[in-house]
Amino acid sequence: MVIGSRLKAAVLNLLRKERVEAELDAEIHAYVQGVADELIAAGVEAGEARRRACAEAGCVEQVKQSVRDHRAGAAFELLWRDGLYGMRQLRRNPALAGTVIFTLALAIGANTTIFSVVWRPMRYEQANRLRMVWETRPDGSRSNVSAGTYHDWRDQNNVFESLTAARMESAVLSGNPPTLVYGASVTPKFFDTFRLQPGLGRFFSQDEFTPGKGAVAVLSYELWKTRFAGDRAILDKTVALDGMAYRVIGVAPPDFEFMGHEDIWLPLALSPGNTDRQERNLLVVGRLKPGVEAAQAGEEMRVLAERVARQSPATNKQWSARVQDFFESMAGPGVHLMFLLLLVTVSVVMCMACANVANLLLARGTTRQKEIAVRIALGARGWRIMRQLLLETLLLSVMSGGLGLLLAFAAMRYLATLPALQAPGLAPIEINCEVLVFVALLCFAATMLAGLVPAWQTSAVNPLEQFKTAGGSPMGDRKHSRLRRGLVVANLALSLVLMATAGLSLRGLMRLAEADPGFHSDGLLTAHLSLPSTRYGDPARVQAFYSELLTKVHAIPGVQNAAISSELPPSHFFANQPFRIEGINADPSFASFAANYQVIGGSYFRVLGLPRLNGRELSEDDRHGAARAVVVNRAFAERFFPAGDPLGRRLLIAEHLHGEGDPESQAALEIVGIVSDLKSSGLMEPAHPQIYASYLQAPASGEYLAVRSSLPEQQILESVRDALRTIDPELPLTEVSTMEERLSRPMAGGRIVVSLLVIFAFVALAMGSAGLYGVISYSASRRTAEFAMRITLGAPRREIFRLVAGGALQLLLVGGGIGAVLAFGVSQVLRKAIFGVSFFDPVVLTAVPLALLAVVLAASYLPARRAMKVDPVVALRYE
Amino acid sequence: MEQNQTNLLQGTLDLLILKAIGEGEAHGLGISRRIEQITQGTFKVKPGSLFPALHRMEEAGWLTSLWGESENRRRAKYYRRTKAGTRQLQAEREQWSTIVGAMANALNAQEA
Repeated sequence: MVIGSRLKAAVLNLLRKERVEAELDAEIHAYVQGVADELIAAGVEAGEARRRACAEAGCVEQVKQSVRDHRAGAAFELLWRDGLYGMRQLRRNPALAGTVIFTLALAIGANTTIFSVVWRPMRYEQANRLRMVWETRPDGSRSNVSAGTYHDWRDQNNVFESLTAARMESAVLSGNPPTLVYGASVTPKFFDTFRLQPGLGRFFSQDEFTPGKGAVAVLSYELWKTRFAGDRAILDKTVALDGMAYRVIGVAPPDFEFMGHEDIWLPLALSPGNTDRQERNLLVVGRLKPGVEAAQAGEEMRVLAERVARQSPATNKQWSARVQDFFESMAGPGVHLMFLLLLVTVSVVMCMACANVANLLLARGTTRQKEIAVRIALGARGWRIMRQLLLETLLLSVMSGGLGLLLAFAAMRYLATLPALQAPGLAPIEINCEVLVFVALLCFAATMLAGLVPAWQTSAVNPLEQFKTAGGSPMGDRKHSRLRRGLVVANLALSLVLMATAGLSLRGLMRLAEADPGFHSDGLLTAHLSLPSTRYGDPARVQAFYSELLTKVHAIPGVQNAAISSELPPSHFFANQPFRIEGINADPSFASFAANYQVIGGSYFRVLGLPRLNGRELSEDDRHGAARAVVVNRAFAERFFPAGDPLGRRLLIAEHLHGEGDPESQAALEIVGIVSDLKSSGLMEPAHPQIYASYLQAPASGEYLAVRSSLPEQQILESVRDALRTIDPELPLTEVSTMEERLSRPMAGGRIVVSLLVIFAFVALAMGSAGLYGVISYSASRRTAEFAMRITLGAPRREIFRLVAGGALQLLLVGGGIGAVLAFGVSQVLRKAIFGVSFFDPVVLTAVPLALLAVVLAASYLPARRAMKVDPVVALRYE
Repeated sequence: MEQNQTNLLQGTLDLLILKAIGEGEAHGLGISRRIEQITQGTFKVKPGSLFPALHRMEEAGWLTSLWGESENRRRAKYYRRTKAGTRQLQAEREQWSTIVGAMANALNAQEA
């Protein structure tokens, strides 16, 4: 209650300052008047009475001040006055204020930007409990899950509250124009696993998962908004997917994505008896039971996978399971480490900025010692002065915070446009409450880090010492200068670490970009086609379509080669085809091999520029009815025929997946040629064994089109669209891009991270050198008298230059030594994230020290020159 | 007993002021004179400590003030105890008695 009352009084005091003052004045005067009246009544003469009354009351002004000091809100007023004083101090030295604000703003801006990118919550409730579960191949790479294995896992595990599956789909949505939409068929409880409520209507009911009743669809919020104008009457209407009617029963909540940009959701009818383990096409996502640890879940799933492997060795021998954090599955491994690297880097930049500012403030402290000494001599207490100095730093950091926020805002506007920084389910990059709180915390931290030591040092002035000597106290000076040199050494060491980190990452990225993909990527236009099964159910129809398309595209003037393929590099999805080899493991009791099975057409190897190593290529003669022929790559030959010649050998493949023949029938494919490897999955992994079959002998529905030409892409694209329209006007052409774009896309995230690292490294270098310049020029100016004396006594002037520059070099050597050790440690961590990083990279190992040396020499050149040019007569006159 | 005034504990001053105002109203000089009178001249409260205390106590809600006319037909600021002030007086009186009792016991105890 007392607090409330005092708070009210404080506000009133502030708001009605003049009236409060007038009343105080009247009150005190009334008191004095009262005393005088008493004296007059006692017979004292009026003038004398007034004098004595004043004497008894004491100085009226002092009484008033004493009341003011005890008034509620007085502390605040005092702070306000200190603040105004601080502002005046800063205005008196705009160069210093500007430098400090700019330095801190850069650091705060960088930290805020990175924080807002990294610290983005997942949109789902308790997203950190969501896990993806994968099958893993014998080589440890992750794979989608088969229906049989999924059922076993779902029924036997004790660690997931719900374990659901989705199969990614694409279909042509009828309408004008027809569009290719992406989506997923999902098992019951899929939406519950994400704790979602429908945006409109409902999600699937249990009976809609029974075969024959599943012609219902849930639209994504975005599709509903864009394609159906957010019409609420969409419920119970039907949409046509690949020519089949689906009844719309609901709309998903806004921004819900699973693998990214699904337009439509369908029920996935998996019959409970489905024990198929061959076709691995399910994505399995689950929510951990409360209290279950991630490691525990991983262990349990591995045990379950081993059980499956024992029961079905033909398909699952040496296969295992991996439980992965949902975000990590989406964003890729390494991302956490990259984010961590960025966070550490900007924190280091922040510390360096604070060290620099502390350095500047220490320097200013020595020039302000006179002023402080006067204030102490007049009775100001030490803590009061320290508070004043801290307040000035706080003012500076708040201004820096404002400017830093602007910088961060601009940077975030840019970063938010980069697709590489988006991942499904991740909140957008924006300035929100958390970011603002973060900026405020940074301002406070900066004040404390940069201001505390200088404030303490500066306020610990002995006025007596100050007034005794003319040039400031030499004792405190030495302590100051040791502290300041320490800060500079730390900054030099840190800037070396950041430069080495950025340099090594950059080299890793360059090596990645220069890595040979194994084919010619220039001048290639690519696009994807998917043929709806409703109109292209018949394999003969599909073959006819592609034949006609290839002929027409080939006939376009300027087109050199054209081809189709079920995959194009870079691809992370393997059509992993189990097979056996006649004469090696043909007996079904042996485990089957597996290789990537790709269906191609046209002059695929010529379009990509893959050299043929042996045998022949696939041709038009390898058609339906003829002996089935395949081409394999070098990795296939080396892996499965380490000693012999694969040409003429036959592969046995169970082809029921493709709807041809009965499930038990095996097709025999003869190897007729060998081509060189291309790196299809990421440029850094070894080539994967490949089987290439012709579309005339193997069924295909969705295929990529690759066209090599010398003409501009846009022109070719128009001609290809025209050609497609004459064959099937209903078919959309999607994923149009050049091969160069396709190859660089997976590296986009890495490029952004490395660019940021390089920017921060330069910022760090600038800060390191600015701090060094400050210390060197300051200490040189303090030693002016000494230099003048040396010159007078006959020292050559270049000796003075050497003294100053040598001092800088000394700092560099210490800082560089410490930095090199730290950088070595960092490089050991980096190896795990970036391909081929080695601390002993010759380019980085020479470039970084040279850059640092150049900057240090540049930073010490001016002060050294100035010291060398000292005029002894002028310099010594001041002593 | 001049030096006693500088030694006035803050709590003591509050207690004296609350007591001096009593149930009625009093202006600054009146309170000062009343304290002098009830302590039989032991405490003389000078304006330098009186007015800060009055303002502080008013802001704390123990006193309320109004402008009126003094005996000499001059404008003066009168203070009156609020309910909270009366409660505060009671609380401080008890606290003071405890201290006085404790100190008396301590001083009367036999020295070891």
